[in-house]
Amino acid sequence: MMILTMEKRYCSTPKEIYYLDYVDRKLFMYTGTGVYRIMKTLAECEELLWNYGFVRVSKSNLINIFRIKQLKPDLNMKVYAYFDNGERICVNRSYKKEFDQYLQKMRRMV
Amino acid sequence: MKEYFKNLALMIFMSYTLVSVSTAIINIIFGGQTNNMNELMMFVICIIASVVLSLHRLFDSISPLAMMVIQYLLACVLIAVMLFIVSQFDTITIQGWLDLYRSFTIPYVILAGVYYYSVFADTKKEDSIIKDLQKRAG
Repeated sequence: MMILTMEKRYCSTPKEIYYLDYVDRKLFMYTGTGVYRIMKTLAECEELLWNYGFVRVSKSNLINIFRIKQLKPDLNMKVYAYFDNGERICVNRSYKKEFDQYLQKMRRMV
Repeated sequence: MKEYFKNLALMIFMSYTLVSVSTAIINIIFGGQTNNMNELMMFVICIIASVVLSLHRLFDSISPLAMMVIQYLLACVLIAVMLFIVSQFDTITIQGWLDLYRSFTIPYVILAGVYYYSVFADTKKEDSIIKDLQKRAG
């Protein structure tokens, strides 16, 4: 998958991406080698990557379920997806139903 | 909006039916009695609880635990308003106030505990599905 970044064209497989984060009207891709700004919208990436394990967990995040190290709730009941690079993303309550449905769909596909 | 009110009405009628039937069963077992005012108050409390709980989408950005506490406090305020209105027509003693708050708090805490547990149980299930998917995908 070729991803156009601000600096240069960056060739990436979806497997390398931990998650996408939409901040200040810019979309960033977090990979093992670094953070890259990509010139697409979150909705476009969601459509492109749904087949590769990417699911929307909040208004500004798309995460790769194949890079999740652990899904764990905090004591204050917020659910976080922990990645193997040490970072974590909150799974918003409003997206829980779609998240569950996505996992069931992937279970049938894989 | 229409969908919201439809779901709210469903929640109110379901919760009132549950509370009413449970009260009837408890009264049969323990020989208690109820009256029209009690039934009306139960219905109003069901409305208050359903409305407050249906506002959960407003609290998306804060933690569920904080949301439960805020909703409980909001419900307490609304119940206080209700009791104040009732006290204009009938006498309510301090014990009456305490009994009503106790009757509201105990089920709320139990249901909150059930919800708390369900968040942990659901997350554990999702985590195991993800690990299974990762294993299958190699």
